[in-house]
Amino acid sequence: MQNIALEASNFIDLNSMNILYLFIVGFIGGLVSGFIGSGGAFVLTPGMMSLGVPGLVAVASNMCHKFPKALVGAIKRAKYGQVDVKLGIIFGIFAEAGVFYGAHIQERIKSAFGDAGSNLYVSVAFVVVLAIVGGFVLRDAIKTYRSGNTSAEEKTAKLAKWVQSINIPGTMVYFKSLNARVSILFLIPLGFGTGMLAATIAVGGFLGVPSMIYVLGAPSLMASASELVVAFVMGLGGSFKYALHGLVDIRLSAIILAGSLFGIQLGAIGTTYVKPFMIKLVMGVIMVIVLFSRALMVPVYLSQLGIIQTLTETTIKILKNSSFAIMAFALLSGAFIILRAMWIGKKAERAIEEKEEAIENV
Amino acid sequence: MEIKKLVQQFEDLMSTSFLEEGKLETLKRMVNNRHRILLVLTGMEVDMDAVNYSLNLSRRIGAGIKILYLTRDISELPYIDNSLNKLKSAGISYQIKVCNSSVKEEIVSYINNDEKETDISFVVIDSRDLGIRSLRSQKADYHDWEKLRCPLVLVSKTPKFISLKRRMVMTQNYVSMRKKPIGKMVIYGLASVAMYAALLMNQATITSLFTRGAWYALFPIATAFAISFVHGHFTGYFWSVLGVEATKKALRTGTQEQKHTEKRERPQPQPRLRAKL
Repeated sequence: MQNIALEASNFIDLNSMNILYLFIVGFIGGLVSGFIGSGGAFVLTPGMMSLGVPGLVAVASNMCHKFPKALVGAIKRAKYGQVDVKLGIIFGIFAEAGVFYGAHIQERIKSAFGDAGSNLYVSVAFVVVLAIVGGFVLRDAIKTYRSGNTSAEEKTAKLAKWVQSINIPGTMVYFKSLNARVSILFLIPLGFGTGMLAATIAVGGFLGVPSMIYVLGAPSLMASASELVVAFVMGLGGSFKYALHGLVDIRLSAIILAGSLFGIQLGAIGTTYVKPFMIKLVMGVIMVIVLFSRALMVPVYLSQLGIIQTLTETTIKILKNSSFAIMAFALLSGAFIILRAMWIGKKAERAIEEKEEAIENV
Repeated sequence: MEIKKLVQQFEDLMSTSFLEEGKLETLKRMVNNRHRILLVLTGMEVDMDAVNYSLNLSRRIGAGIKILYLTRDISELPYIDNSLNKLKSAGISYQIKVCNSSVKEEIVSYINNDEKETDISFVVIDSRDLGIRSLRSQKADYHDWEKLRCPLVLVSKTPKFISLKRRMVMTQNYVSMRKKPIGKMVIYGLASVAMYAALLMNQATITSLFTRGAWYALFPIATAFAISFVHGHFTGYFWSVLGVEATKKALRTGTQEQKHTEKRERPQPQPRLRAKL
């Protein structure tokens, strides 16, 4: 507890460069979150730490910016009929439990193996989860693109069909996003896993959204929008927990929010211009690039733990910087794809309008 | 001034669904003060949509219908029977007028110049009679109608207007076109700047108060909510003012959500055996 108090008293001084940096990162993070339902946070925590913010304060302040951002995004996307509030809240409650359990595991690993052990655990979780889920999502997006059937309605996955066919009396709940009744028991492990991942790598949505799509059978647009509700529930609980220990630096949260609320509105608007497979594509691309970023850090932590040969200072520095650069590149790639897709979508809409006008005027 | 107020009130009512209770009552009150609907026909086949719409509306709000039939050549009235038989059976009289200038000009001069026509609540016409076939041409046409003494209802079957199901009111799109939320953006923008200024100028006090833990935890949470409300509204209006908005299709889907009624399983009828003796 003393350590926590010490960290809290170490809040950094903010200058205009720091503010601008956080604003821009917040904007890009918000844009991606508004589009795919989560993301952005993974670059914000290390981003804040690079400014000298203590780790726990960075996590807490990031969490405290996440829930109001998710709230604004969810309200915006609800206007487009994309949000399944019931699914989001139930999923979010189970995810909250996962967050607490995930944080508990983190603490235990930290006390047993120290900072390097905890960092290694986080990086391995990143690499394993992103390799499996990210690879799958990206493969599916590319498959849809190659089939040339990008406008076709999304098919419900076989697994989701099976999940929807199981009837466990007393646990069945209707979800509008699935247009089916699903046993709430299926949501427990999915929500819990999402929460655990959120507590570990700060982006639960990398598991939450794909599980809603492929396991429950929700359309991509609705899954990514409902994830914002999950993020709100998780973020609110998590922020309160950190605030109880006085760890939230509201200045940091507020500045990131200043940028991210611009971004999330734009990302949410962007979803109305694109075909559903774009959600999967952006998510898959970000996940796979981030995977490489974290993989680069594994040798650093392994050497710190003495499992492999000790690396030189220069090598560690190069690996750290490259890792951060790749992470930023992942976010920028996502933002680029979103903005490009929006631009193309807007142009196509205008072209259709003009065509219709020309036909009618004949 | 009174007309301006009436037009504004009418725009607000027409831009929402007619089916909403309360609003219908308001509309009835408005129309009862001014008596009739002016239905403009031009002898085109499409007139039937405007006729049907006017008949339904007059029945619903208890207003009379007056018809202005504008034609280039009074001896050639190809669709007049089609359009007017229905009206005759409803006991509605009509007036045929030779259209010397454009349909638009005839309507404006009829409403604005004729002293007897002060009882017209609004004008109903099919959009195609005015050559309006798209949102763009509709927007371009708007300024000409600004001087009309009463609102104009455009009945349209054009795909763009489908969301309103033939209740396309010209004012519907003009409301969104004219009313870019600049005022709201400025208000929320100023509030947002004020909040951030207060936060950054009192960093030391705020940080020491917000990090005391326990129940003080509510301070950062409440602040985050307040920022999301004020700054969230500002950013939303900001993109609207810049013209970055969702596709109309998405907005339509969002407002037309249907309620789901769960299917309940019915008990299977038990087979019975009946024996006749």
